[in-house]
Amino acid sequence: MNQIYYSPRSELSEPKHFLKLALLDLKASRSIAWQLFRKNFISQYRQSFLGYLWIFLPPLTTALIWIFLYFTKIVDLGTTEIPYPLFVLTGVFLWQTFTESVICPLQQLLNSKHLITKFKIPHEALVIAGLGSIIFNLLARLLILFLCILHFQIGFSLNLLLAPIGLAALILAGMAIGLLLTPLGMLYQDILNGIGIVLNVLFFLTPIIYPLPKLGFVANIVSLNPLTAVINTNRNWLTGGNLMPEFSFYVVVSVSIFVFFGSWLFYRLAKPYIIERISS
Amino acid sequence: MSEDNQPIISVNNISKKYCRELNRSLRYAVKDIVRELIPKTHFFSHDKSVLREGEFWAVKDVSFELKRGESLAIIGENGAGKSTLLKVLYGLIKPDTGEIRIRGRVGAIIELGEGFDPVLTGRENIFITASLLGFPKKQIQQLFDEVVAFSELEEFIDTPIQFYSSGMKARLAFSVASHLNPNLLFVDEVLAVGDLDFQRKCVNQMLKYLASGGSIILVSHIPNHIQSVCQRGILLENGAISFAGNSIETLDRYFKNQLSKISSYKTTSNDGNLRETKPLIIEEVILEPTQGEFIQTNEDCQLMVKYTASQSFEDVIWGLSIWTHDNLVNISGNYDLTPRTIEAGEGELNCLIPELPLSPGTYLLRVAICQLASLQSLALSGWEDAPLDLKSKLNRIY
Repeated sequence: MNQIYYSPRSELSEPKHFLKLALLDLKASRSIAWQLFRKNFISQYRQSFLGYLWIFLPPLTTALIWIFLYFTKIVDLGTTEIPYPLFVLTGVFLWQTFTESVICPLQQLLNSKHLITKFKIPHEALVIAGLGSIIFNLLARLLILFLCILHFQIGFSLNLLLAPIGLAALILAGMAIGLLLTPLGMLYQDILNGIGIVLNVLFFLTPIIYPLPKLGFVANIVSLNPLTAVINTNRNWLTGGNLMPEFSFYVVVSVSIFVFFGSWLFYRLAKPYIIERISS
Repeated sequence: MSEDNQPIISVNNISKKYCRELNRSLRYAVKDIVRELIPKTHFFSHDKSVLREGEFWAVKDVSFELKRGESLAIIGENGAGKSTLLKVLYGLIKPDTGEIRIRGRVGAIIELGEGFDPVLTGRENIFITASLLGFPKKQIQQLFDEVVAFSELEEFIDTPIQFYSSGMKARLAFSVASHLNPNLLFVDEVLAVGDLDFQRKCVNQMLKYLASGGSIILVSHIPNHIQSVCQRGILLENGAISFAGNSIETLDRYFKNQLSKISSYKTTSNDGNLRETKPLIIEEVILEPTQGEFIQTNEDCQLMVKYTASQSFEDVIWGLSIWTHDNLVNISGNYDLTPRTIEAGEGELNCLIPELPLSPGTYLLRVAICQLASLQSLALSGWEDAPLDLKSKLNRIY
């Protein structure tokens, strides 16, 4: 029979049991996450006239604004190897996925405050359901991107086969940062606000709307930004650029994996204390 | 010890502290979380059983055990720590002292309809709620018809929940949660919504669940429900158990405590506020045999109702009613329809019950004093508080 034991001791005092529970919750999360994903998906679009068009509208608008600025020469963004609209579209779409990944854990858990303070549901399920939405949105955007690639006739390369790995790395990096900030973010609102500001700044320090500058102050900052490698690698793989990623890409991926799992387990330790302080 | 005799839940000296100031409370949370990371170092550890500045005990040294098929009511005023205790038992938050052991699967009906999405239909919500509660889709599919039939919402099951009334939502939520049959069920203040018929149905459902070997821990403010569902009760005062006994004794104690608070209020303030809202109070209801030591079936007994009135009343009638011990059936209601006058001050009403026509057992007795013209009650005993136990015996001691 199922035995449950609660005491004030730290869960880390029995590391094996702690990990076992984490895995059990992860297992239980699968079906719950699927149900939640479906629920979010259906309820998001059922009460809207434009429905699923909303998946494409925001990134498309952003891309169009930059394409307009480029062709009217309001801003000088240098030359790109691929047609600029394609360059900016990949950049914006990738960035969108990254920001969604950063915000996902905190947003999902905060939105479900009423659920997690009352039901014993695995919190992992909420985050996985959020991941589902990120992947779905990404696929929808890729569809637009592929139509553009056809339009600009740059052709599809075999590099495209590596794209899933690059995109997974992008989401992983975002989620790792998001998860790391989640425990504190559940307690203090400053975190979510702060994430918004930092992401806004990062947007301009990452080669999203302009290519990596060769020289100068900005070039130094942008090349120091770990996201540069991830975005560039993804763009190359999607649009037939360099096959080999920069070395820093591997570093970012390894660090992300480490931070991701560490943050997940840390959140599990913090969970009862968070629920205690946020329940009404 | 066999499986059945072991307690399904044993709770040992559970305490939980809380902090009333938001900012300080958040700071403590951060400290507590960091402390979780360092489980074994002694110099960094803080004794959790000591209060920090601004903290108080929301739950203090609570212990009890519950076996299969048993049910326990947690009774207490708002803020006595009932819901906090339930959250600790459910495992949502960690206790600061003590330990809890649970053998089996736990379910909870905590806030009805919390998991519902307003845009989705009743049908869709049933599946989502059940999966949130940790039950596989297969099990729900088997139970689906039963759940819908119980909620009596067949007609509305494909309507979005946002068009449901709050009572309908509560019905659906209770139906889902109560059909999943965990080994131990936590129920927190959920039956106040919904009409009386449905409340009765819920109570029956809980009784069925208990009979099938389930166990319930119930937090409720409705004395009827507590009496019908729970054999045992604990009374929480400022987080600590101040009384434990059967559910009727516990309720009685709870209402007595409240009454004593009222009488101390009366002596300290003379503005008569209380007297205006409650000019007539039934102080005591006494039932005694006219002969012998025990109330006996087929023997006479005497009912005495002592009251205090702050003013005189004219054209008053009074009556008594006897209920089965499970509080579900009213066996008899007797009113003396002769109008009488009640004078200000203390007084008593008497009634002889000749040859008590009840088979041996325990019953509940309620008394009401009413205005004849309007039939508005002036004073009640056993309606809002615990009714009197009426124990009838045969000519033997058992």
